[in-house]
Amino acid sequence: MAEDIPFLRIDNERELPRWLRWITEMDCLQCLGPRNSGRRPVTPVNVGLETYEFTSCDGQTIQFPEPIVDRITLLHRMREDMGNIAGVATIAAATGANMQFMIDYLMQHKDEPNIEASDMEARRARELKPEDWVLLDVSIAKLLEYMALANYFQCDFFLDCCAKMLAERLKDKSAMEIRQIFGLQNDLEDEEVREVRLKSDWCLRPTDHYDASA
Amino acid sequence: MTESRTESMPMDEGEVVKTNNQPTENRPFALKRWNALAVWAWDVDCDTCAICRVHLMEECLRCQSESSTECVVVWGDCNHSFHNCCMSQWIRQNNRCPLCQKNWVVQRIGK
Amino acid sequence: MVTPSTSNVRIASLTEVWEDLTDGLNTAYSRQPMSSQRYMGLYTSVYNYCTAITLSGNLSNRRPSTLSGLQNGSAMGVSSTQRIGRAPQGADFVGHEMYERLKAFVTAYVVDIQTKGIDLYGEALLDFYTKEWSNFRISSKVMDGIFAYLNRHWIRRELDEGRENIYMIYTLALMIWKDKLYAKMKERVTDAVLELIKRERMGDTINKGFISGVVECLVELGIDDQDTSSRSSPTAPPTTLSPGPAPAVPPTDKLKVYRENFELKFLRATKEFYAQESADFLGQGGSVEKRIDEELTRCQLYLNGHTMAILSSTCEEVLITAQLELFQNAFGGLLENSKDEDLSRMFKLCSRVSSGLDNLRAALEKHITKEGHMALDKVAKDAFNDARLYITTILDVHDRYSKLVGGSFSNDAGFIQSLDKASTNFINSNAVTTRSPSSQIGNKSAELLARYCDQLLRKSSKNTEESDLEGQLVRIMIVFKYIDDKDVFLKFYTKLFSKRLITEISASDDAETALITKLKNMCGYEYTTRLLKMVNDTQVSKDLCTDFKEKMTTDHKNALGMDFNILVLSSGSWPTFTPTSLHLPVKLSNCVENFTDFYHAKHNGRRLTWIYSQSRGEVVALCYSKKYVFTSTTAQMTTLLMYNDQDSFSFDSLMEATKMENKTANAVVISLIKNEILKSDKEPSNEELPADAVVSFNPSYSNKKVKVDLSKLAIRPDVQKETADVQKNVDEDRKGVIDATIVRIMKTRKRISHSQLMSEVIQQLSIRFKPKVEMIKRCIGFLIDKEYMARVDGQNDTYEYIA
Repeated sequence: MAEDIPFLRIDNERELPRWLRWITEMDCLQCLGPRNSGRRPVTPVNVGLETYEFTSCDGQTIQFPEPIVDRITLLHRMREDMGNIAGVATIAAATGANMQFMIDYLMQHKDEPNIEASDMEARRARELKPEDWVLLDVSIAKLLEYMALANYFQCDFFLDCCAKMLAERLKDKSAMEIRQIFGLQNDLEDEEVREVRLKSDWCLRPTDHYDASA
Repeated sequence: MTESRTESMPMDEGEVVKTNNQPTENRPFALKRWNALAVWAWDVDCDTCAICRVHLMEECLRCQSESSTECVVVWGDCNHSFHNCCMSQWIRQNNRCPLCQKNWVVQRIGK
Repeated sequence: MVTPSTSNVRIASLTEVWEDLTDGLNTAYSRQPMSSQRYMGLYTSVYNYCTAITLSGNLSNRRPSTLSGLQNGSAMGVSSTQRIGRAPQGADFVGHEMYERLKAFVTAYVVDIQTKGIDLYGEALLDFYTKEWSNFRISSKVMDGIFAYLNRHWIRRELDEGRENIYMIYTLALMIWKDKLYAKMKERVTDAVLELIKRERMGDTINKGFISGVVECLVELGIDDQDTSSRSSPTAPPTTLSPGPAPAVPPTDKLKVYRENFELKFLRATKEFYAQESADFLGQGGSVEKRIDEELTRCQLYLNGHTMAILSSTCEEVLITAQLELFQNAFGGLLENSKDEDLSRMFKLCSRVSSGLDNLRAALEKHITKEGHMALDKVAKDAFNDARLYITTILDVHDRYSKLVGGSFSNDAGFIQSLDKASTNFINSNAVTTRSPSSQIGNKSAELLARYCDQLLRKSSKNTEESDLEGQLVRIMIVFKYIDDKDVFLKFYTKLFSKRLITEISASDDAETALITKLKNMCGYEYTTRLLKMVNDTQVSKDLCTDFKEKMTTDHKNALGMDFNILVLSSGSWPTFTPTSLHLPVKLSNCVENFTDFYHAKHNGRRLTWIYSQSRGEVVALCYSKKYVFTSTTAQMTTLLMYNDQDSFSFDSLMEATKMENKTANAVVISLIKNEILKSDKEPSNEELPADAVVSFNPSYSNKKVKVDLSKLAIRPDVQKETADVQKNVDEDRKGVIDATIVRIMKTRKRISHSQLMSEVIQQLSIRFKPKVEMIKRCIGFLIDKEYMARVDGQNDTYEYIA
């Protein structure tokens, strides 16, 4: 799952500007398509809906409406164990804006059938909806923030969407490009490269060469 | 038979006495009605059809299973008799009477 | 190229974090109130700890070939992203440390509880155990929530990689409970529960919560097996969403702890309890069903559903199977006393166990047979000559038990069979049938049933209303079904039916047809062919009469001088009538001649035989003070007409003139003397007149009625003789039927073994009668002699057909 991807952990405030600076300075960002602030999901009017208050890391009070609680495992468990939902989300990605984005996104998708967290087949099979392409048309950095947030809240629904979106963004890139984008060093030894290629031959294209020298 | 004279009596039952044109005083009894019973059988020497081995008064085996038309008897010139349907099957193979081996000529067909 | 460095992330030391976490855990396990904020804070601590470690580990440690975990867990099918994921070793180490500390914390807690409960027994133990369990469960859930990120992060990966002895936090807590606490007190707990259940069985009121609490605990403790089994499947990693029982796990695995530690002992205890109790209990008239219901209710209320089926069969085994003999003994008494409700309950009870009904079925058959025989014994003397009494007696018995089988025994096929077998038994051989002479092959039942049909279908008889006739026919068929000698029934029926047709005394043509249809439906088309032919003959005869009368009119041969009607029957379809010699009066012979001519013109190749004994007519007497109409036989008519010429004849000359046989002449003349139309100078002795007796006309005859039936005295229905006549040919006819059947089978089979031929013959004839094997063998011998068939050379017991 996403938590396995090391670059997602941008949970330290000091790290965030570095990420952002790095991303904005990258030439190759052009190839990621036009930068777009993303369209905000339609903020629903939560009239008559029960909501739960949460404080974001930047001090905002965010309301979680009742219908999405079951989509967010952390909140679901908290209610089960504590009988109440409240707290402060202290990680860096949990800004008021990000949290609100996640809430709005979930509200907009609240009528979709729920997928069991353990049902990996279904999670993989679920495809991005046309509106997702619009909603999640944000910078890779933003996408990474959302994923960090979703991971923190154990919201697999939102996490999967973001991860899929990220994958879409990366899928035409070569290994070299990816390494460039994220500033990774190739720490694989020749032996490992061969092993990986052997294992993943079915999905690699001829252009996907691991360049040990890069 | 002592009863020699005939009373002519009308067929309709009611007015026996009035329509009687002969004196009746010395004739105590007059016939009014007779419900007779008779039994018919094929006029044959042997009761059984030699071909299908079923009694001639009954339908032959084939007709029994089909239960369709009347199953009648046929007499040959030799005076042997069979079910007509059995015989018509028989003469396709052999134009002789199965009993006496004479040439088969139909004398009459029952009805 | 910019490389986001993670080296300066502050690595939270576990010691630092753990202090706070321990505080949280203590709060959770002491059931002190915890705010959601605090819960969230603890969660975030764990989160921070796990993620921070990861980042630090990313740079410093790496482990070769870590792609597998990613491929299993999070690959979204894009090749390039796979490359990114790696599981740093640092996290392994520290995650493990946190896991071990948790484990130590819970272990300490559980051991502490175990120590507290070390001296407890019975209800005190259950009280302690269920309370502690419930608390522990709730606290562990909270713990699982707080450490959810450890589940999601480190533990999941360990499981994915197949690490042994690593569990999700909640499962870990259950495992510790099971190993450190439950293992040490399980005997005590189970014993206490069983003791409690036993007390409830004895009638005490108990705290059911103790039992359900323990049972729920045992069911939940089966969880580790579930985890072990699902661990190998990468597509279904355990979910942290609901720590309760996961779906799609075979219940046997999941319930292992419950079954091994409780269910087995519980079932054993159940067996023992009822084995000791039930004998006394049943003796006191207790209700087994109530016991079983109680057990199943108990199971439903506070045991696991899995136990239901096996408990049910255990109870059945102890309470029913072991007591079957007792039930069977009681069964007879219940039947005897018509305790239908009790019988119904016993049926339901015994139907629960395999072959529990066998003996009841046998007992029912025996009982019905006995009842049937007893009922017929009582009426045997009268019923021998009273078909109605006989059949209604049979039907009363059958009705009673048919209702019982339909009601109390839910029309169970086996019980229906018992009823059928018993009915077949007492209907075909009973006190009435044994009164008939042994020479009669067909049984009396077939005859009496046919006579009862005749009574019902006759116009004259004092029958119930038409509306009920259909119902009566249905009941006739009930008895008919059981009659073995259906061919004998048919013979009597044909005889009586022919009488009804000839004398036109059928109550209703529709009813006649209805019964024939019923017989046809049960025995097949062939069985009723003759009856249908008879009906057809009477209809054809009606048309013949009309045509004949028309012809007489058009030919101006109005000279018949009376009303003439005729029935022309086809020989073979009707009972055989023996022609009697009689010299007809001219008017009658005139009719005969005219009709014979007419008939021969219409039909070819037919021979008519006149049966005067069955021909009747009316004679008008004009010689008395008033007019009389005498209904009489043809012989009586002939005799009466003699007196138109002279007033007296010697009996001898009468006989001479009419050509009547001596016996007929005696019967006819004596009947006329008894009617006082004639008188004789000598008394008849032994129904015979001396040849020289002078029989003369009695002019002073008088009768109140105008229409007098003389034929009744002339033809006295001799039932015994009739019966003997019908019976006489049964054997002969059966031989013929068997011959025909054998020939038919041989014709289709061409070659057949002896045993197969036998069984086919018996099978084909079963709707007619039960052929004796001896008789079939004789028929086969006869057919071989006649060269219809032959034994196959060199093959014993095989026959072939000779065309």
